[in-house]
Amino acid sequence: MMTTAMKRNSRKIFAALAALLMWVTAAAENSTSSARAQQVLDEVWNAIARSHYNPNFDQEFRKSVYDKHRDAVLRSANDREIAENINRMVAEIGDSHIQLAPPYGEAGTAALRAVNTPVNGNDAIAADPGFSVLDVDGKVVVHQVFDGSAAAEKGVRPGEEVINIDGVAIQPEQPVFPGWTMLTRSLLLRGGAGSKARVTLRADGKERTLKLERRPNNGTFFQVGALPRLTAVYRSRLLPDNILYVQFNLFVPEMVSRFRKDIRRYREQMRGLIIDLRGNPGGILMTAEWIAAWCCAREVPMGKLIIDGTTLTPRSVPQPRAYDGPVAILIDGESCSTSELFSGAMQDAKAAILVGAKTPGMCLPSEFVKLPSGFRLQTVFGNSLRTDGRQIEKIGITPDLEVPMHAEALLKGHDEVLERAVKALQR
Amino acid sequence: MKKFLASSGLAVLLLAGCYAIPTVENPAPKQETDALLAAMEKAANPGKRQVKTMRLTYRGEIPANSMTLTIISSMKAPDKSRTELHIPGMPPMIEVFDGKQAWTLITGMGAKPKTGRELAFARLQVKMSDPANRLTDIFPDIKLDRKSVDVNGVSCRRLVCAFGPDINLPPAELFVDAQSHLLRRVVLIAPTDMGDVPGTTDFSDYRNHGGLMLPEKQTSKMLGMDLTATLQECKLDLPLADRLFTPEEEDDDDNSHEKKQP
Repeated sequence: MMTTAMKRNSRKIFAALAALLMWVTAAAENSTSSARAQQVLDEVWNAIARSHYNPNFDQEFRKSVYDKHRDAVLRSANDREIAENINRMVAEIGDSHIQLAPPYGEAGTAALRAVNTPVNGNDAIAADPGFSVLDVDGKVVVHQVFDGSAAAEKGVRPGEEVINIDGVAIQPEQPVFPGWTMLTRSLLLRGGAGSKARVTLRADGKERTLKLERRPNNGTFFQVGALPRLTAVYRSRLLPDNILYVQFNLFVPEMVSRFRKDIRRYREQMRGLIIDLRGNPGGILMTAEWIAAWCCAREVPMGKLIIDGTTLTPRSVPQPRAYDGPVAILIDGESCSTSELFSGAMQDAKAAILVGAKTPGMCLPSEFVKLPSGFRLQTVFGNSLRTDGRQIEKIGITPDLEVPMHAEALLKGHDEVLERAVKALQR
Repeated sequence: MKKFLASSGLAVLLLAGCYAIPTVENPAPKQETDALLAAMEKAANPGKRQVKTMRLTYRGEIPANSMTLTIISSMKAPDKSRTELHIPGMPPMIEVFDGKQAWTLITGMGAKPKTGRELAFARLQVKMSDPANRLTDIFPDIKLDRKSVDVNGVSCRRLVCAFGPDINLPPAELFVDAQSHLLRRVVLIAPTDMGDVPGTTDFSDYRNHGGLMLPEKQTSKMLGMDLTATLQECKLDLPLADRLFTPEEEDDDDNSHEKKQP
């Protein structure tokens, strides 16, 4: 089982662009001097102070945090230790989304390396073996198996634990950024259409290894700025009773485009809409506004964003021919950041019912800065609040209907959260 | 990135501001103010060129995010404008003003009409981008500070320019090179769909483009973020159809914004 701290670490997924932060910090094992440690410490501190939403940040935390940890940081033997000690320091600030290079275990480093290593072949088209994953009870498990996929043909079942992909061990007990479910998704996608993923699964104490062909998954690559290439996947299907089920793994523009098409296509026949944000680490806030604009025919205030002393109040602008019926949003402990902002805003506006588990409350807008020392820092530049001013950070979004996920139920073919949402919409 | 995307107002490049309401404690006499305004007009448009259309293409950089982008700003006198923001990997973000109405458009997502102060500000921006307009055509009240101010090592005169009641924001501050009479800095608050966003834009490296003096470099600071825009191309009096300044209905089958990038 992952400890809470481990989970929290693994879930430090950024707000502005929920995505992989795959700086496999070049070994980071070089020996270092206290001068270098001091340099990195000051770079980190100044960068945080410069962008932090609290204008008195330095004054408030200098003595209690910086001074307290300075000696330990200066005693660091190498870059990895510097990162560890500084992360220990910034943890006391109490905000998510602030971290230097986190300590990776061997498995995490290997997984990050693999994800970052180009694969020969046709990887221009997003393709995967045909199943999605979720974090259930600290394990990465199969969530859904898609029709027509290699996974479906080989009998992969929801609820099976994923323990290895292409020789890379999936070890959620080792903390790694950006989290094992996100890495697992990237590993499944690595290779391109036609390549085969060697996937080891475990269920009922038995392991089996399958070779699963990656087939185009209707996903789209997304890359912006200095971030690595991400794959955004959008899936939808019409459930019985004409309830449209929509799932996407990132809040990026292409997802809105596909959502809009679905709404336009099914609008007349839809009796309900389910947006599945379980495992969705967030993304670009603007896309959340547009999703709301297409699934609610009235304006939805998207909370408050406080940046550099300025309070921004994003809101949706309902689009002509937007859907205007009941909506359920599925959330869980890995629905972070923009997922939290969106689901909280829809709940506050009484525009949707939230079903699932409480979100982690990791919702501060952040950005990545490359420091002169070569370290990369994820640091917050603002604060996100709900429309009525309530914090989301450290508190999370509580669903209207709390429904836990169980791997055993998935193995038996039941997605309890989805089933409960369908029932709620049928009423 | 989030900051960048947070405000579509950034697309216009003329951003700025501080929340302390700018005032002029010791204003220069009207004659001196008028003389400076006349000198500014002459400096910016020495040949008094009447431009029917204009398209400026900038290369933008946000160093902190290692991001580059392209900004294409088009104007059709007297009252039409279109600003396109192209970020690799993102659908284009476009703001259009057809002389009456304005919209923010994002390919594949939809259109947001501008209303109220945002719409009034869009109207003002068009006026600002047309070299034929005088500052007095744009701002109903302009005061010149007697004191000179240093802006990036250049001695500047400070103008405090009040907006009309339709915009209802603190006045903009314009800093004008005391020697060349070219604009060096604009500080203002821009109304956006997310709220009022203060920002500062510095202008430098002026060059003559077909009779107009245009800054080759603009550096904007807003929401703690720096954006540098370098002028790549200036086209004057090119054919620009009116339909460019209105939203176009998107084909739902066309989901490839990549094709539309410059």
